[in-house]
Amino acid sequence: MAGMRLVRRLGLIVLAAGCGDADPADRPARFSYIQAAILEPSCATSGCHSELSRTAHLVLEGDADDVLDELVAEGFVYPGVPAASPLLHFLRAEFGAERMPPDAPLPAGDIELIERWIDEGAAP
Amino acid sequence: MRTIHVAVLLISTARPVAAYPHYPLATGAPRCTSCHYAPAGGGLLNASGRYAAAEEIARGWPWDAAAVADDDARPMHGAIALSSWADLGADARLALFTKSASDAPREWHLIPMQADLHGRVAAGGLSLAATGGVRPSSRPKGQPPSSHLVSREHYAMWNFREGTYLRAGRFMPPYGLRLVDHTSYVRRYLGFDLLGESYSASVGKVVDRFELHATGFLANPYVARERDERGGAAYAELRLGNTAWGGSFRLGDADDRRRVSGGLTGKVFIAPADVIVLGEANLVRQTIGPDQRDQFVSYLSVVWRPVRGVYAAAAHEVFDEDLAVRDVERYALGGWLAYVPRAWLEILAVGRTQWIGPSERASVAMLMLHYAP
Repeated sequence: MAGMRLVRRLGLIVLAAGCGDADPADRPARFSYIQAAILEPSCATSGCHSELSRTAHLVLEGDADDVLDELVAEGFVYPGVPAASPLLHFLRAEFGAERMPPDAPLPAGDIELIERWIDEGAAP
Repeated sequence: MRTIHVAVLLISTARPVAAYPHYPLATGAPRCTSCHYAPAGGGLLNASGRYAAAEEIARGWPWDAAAVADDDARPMHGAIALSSWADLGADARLALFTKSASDAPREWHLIPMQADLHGRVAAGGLSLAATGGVRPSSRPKGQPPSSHLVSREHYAMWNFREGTYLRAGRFMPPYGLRLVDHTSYVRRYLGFDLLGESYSASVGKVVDRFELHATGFLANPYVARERDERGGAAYAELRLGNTAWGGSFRLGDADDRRRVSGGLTGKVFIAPADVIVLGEANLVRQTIGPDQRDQFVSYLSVVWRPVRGVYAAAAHEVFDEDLAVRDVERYALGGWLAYVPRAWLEILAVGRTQWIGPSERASVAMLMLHYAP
């Protein structure tokens, strides 16, 4: 615990000048933003859900409309029903799903944004 | 010993192309090109670099501590007699690592992390270099076998005048510290992740006192975010005494997205203590359609060489994916211990913990054998 506090303090000192207080879920709830801002940097890396690797036959990079269509068609996202959307189950390691990304989880704020996006109909 | 005359050998591969910026602790070399052919370091060692690896970086076996094994300073242990215009090298890494994230069960993996060959031919100031091999994965499910054969680097370079070069092909644009660890935030979130090399053209000058690099890049066939990005990057470094201070800039445009980053680097060598302090801090402005966000990425480490052949380090990292938003920061604290008994062998133990947002945590520990004849 003491170590974690020290690490956070060092980081906060570094971020003090620019630390914001906006709610992380208040960012644009549209897929074109979420894909570019969250999914591609964290999930569509060269070794995972990229065109190159296609891990678990899922590709999260490329044309946003195509990726969204695939997520809905494959049953990862049910627009308007976040509780039934496996994408969230993976991100939160719920109902026995393996946590994704496996190396490090997304910040809770990113997951909440994705949840709000699904809840509002999963707009492109 | 049978010897084989080889002109060039090329096999498609994947290699984390980056230098070891702390090795000047041992060599005192002011610039990466003191030991490497590549203008930004990494890749094949030149003759001076091979000698330095054997004579200054490695510890040596106890029974021959007083002498340098001549073969250590030759490509492939001297088993292959190369023509003067050719060079050859390899990199193989085997790792046992364990990781855990928040409440997820701990995982263990034993994988060959890297299996590469490097080749280079040169005539006068013109050289051709390539790296290729196998890209392993700890999660191969669903991955096409062909995806595991990659050539991360291949380029032509012309060295003319003192330290000036032109380079074109596939390589990582020089930027920042150019760390070996591709998981470091300053690599992963700035466009220099694993397989982050782009098709580029670069010009620069590297001398003892300073170095300048300017690169234009078109596309990266392997990584989504950089696939369609076109832009440029620049890096400048000034060396003053036992310090080096640099600035970096990168601009990437892709359809309705733009990413602009700029940063500062610093290296301070504290000779009496055999310590080097490395630091890098960057600001990023990313535009996604009508939206915009600012990010911050930093790295700070202290590397200590207690005795020849042994290196110990601690590092602190920060990544804030949106400076205007709370609870989306990542912090990392890590350390590593490297033992280099011979020029071609490194034994590395690594540990790293991340704190993600307000409540998530992830950690990894790794023991790696690195063989690089």
